[in-house]
This record gives sequence, structure tokens and C-alpha cells, in this order.
Amino acid sequence: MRRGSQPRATSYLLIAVALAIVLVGVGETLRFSSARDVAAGVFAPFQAAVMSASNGVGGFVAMLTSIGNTADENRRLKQHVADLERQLAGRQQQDLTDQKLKALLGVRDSLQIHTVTAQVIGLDPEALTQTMTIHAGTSQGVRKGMSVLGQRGLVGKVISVQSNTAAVRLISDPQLPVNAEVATTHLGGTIKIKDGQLVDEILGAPTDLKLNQGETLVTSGLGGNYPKGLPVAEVVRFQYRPAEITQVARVAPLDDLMHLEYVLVDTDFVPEGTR
Amino acid sequence: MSLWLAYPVITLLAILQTSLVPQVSLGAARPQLVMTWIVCWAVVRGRGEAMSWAIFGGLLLDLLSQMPPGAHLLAMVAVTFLADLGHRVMQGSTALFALAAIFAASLAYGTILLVVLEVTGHSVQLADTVILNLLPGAVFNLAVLVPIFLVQRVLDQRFPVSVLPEW
Repeated sequence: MRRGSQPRATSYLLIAVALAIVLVGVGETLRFSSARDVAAGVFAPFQAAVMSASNGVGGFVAMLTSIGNTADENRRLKQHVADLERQLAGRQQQDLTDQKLKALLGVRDSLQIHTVTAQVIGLDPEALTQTMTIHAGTSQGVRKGMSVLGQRGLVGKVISVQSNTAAVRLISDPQLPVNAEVATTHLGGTIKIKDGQLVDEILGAPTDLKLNQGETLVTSGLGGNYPKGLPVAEVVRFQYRPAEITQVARVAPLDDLMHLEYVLVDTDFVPEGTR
Repeated sequence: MSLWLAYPVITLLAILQTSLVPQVSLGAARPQLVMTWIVCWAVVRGRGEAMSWAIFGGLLLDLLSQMPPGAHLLAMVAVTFLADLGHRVMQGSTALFALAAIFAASLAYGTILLVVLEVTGHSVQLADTVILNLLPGAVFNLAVLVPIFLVQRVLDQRFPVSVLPEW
């Protein structure tokens, strides 16, 4: 082994640890977010391309499977079938995207809000923070604090925004409790992560409280962080506990937060203090 | 091997890790392509060569994630240094050592990130995160390690270390 490699490694370690400690300590005040903005701008096209390609993988696999069923046909017919299958897979993929976009339009129309449609281009690499990056930013009218919706309801909130991308914190993040209410009774609560699960905590609930599975929770508008009336989650399980002051219902987001392809940003509502 | 050639690879892996990997994740567990590549090189090659990659990869992930700034950098250099140290102690690398190193590095990496999250005031569900995220993620990394280890062994042989005479 060549001499000097270990001191070199130790030097790198010391420099990097010192830098890391500085960043952890004062990174936010050193405008590290500006560096993130630049990085997001540089990498967003590549991330978007990879995301689009990965969305087509399912269709491509289906195409390969169907080609396997034509094993008895001759080479020319196989090629012909493969071409058709490829076109079909591409069309199916397009149809799927159309369906998702139509569903998003449905959400927008039903809620009667103005929105910006954005492709999801990045997710947190470690899944330790529940965040994602979308391909829309200030150029498209997105502002910090705006609500982000999936095909069925609220999925998160814009926490930082750049010219063409924005970071969104999902409602499954412990840092993002959502004031909500039961859509039918307007009974208020807070949707948050508790013991690793998404729950609705209801303080001072009536003793005859009943929450049925599938019951929808919508934003209450309390706190001014979200507009009132956005669907957020549905009840998965609830059992009234007489001894508890706070009743806890297990809930689930209306959308699959880990497999969002397109989202809507509600541009009508910007919380106070973020304008 | 020119160390500079690795930077585009690490950049590509970082892009894949933030875009493609979440699409193929199993639950909350995700393979850590960048960490596995860098730590594996520390295991295969040693000599501190992977440390500069660790700084680059850590900073890149810090830029592309919403974790507290510096978290990935700290975790990456720490596990890479330990893997490099392991290479010295083991006097080389074996597949078994690589597997053990990646598994341990995955857990250590995740633990450091959790500690940074906790220190910076983010609430962390420790037990759930370890069970649902770190442990499955470490197993995921073992699967990713296999092709990476094979590629890097070939690279190590193809671009041998230039040994200077020690006077």
C-alpha cells in the first residue's frame, strides 16, 4: 500500500465533517436553499426524463410478455406484432396519463379552484423526510405555502420554490399536521403522524361519536395554512375510547403519496405570512 | 482508474436515486445507489480514494434532498471512512467483507441521518424508521451491491494502483 493514503483519508474526513457540521448548524442561514435552487434547476430536466422513462417501464414489460405469447409465429410476424405491441403499450401509457390528468381536472373542477399542473420529478432519496420535487415553480405561478393536490385530494404543501421547480412536503410528514374536519359533521381534528401512522386526533369529541370507514376528512381552514374544504384523507379505523380525552381515528391519504406522477398546485390560496 | 471518471457516474446515480428509485421502492425501503457505489469502492480499493467521492456524493444528495444541509455529507464521509479503514484492516476485499460492510454502512448511514434530523428539531419515529426503513433498505442495498461489486472489481483490475517505490 502506498504510504500517505490513510492520512489523506483522515484529512478528507476532518474537512468534510467540519463542513458538514457548519452546514447542519448554519446551513439554512447560509442560504443553502439558494444552492438547492440552482441544483434543482440543473437536475430537473434529467429527473423529469428519468421519471417519464420509468413510467413507461410497466408498459414495456407488458409488451415483452405479450411478445412471448407469439413465439410460434415467424420472424416477420413477430416483428410486426412487436411493433404493434410497442405502439399499444405507448398508447396505453398515454391513456393512463390522460386518465390521471383528467382525474386531476375533475378535482380542480369539483373544488372550483385555479391550479397549475405539475409533474412529480423527484422524491426524497432516503424516504426519511416525506418530500417531493415538482416540475413547476415561480414561472408558473407557484408560491411557497400553496396546497398541492393529487387526483383525489390534498397531498402536501409547497415548502420552497424555485423558478421551474418546487419542493413539496407531503401530509405524511410529521412536520406537516393538517387541521381537518369530518366532511359530514364538521367535527374538527388534526391529521398528523402518530406512532408511524397517519391519524386524525379529535379533542373533546362527543361521547356518541361514530366515524365510519371511508368517511372523508376535509381541511377545516383553521390556522390559515390551507383553504377550507379540500379533501385530505378517509377514515380507515375508529374505535371510541371513553377513557381518552383525545379520540384518535386511523386515516389514510386519498392518494398514493409514493406513486404520484402529476399533481395540482392550488394557486388561489396563499397562507398569510408566506406572501 | 481516473477518479474523475467516477463523478459523472455518481451524478447519474444521484439522479436515479431521486427519481427512479422511489418508483421501485418496497414500502419505505429504498436502495441507496450513491452510498453503495462509494462505500463499495472504499471496500474494493481502499487507499482513501473513495473519500473525495464521498464528499461529492454527500453534497450532491444534500442539494437534491430536503434533509437538513450537511446531513448526507456527514453520513457519507463517516461510513466511507470506516469502510476504507476496514479495507486496511482486512488487507484487501472479499465479497463477504463487502456484504458485511454495506449492510453495516447502510444502518450507520441511516442512523446518522436520523440523529441529524433529531438534532435539527425534526420529530423522528425511531423504532418505526429502523424497522420499516433502515433494515429493509440495508437488505435492498445488498442486492444492489452485487452488480456494483462485480463492476468495481473489474475496474480495480483494469486500472491497477500505480505502486510507487517506498524509499
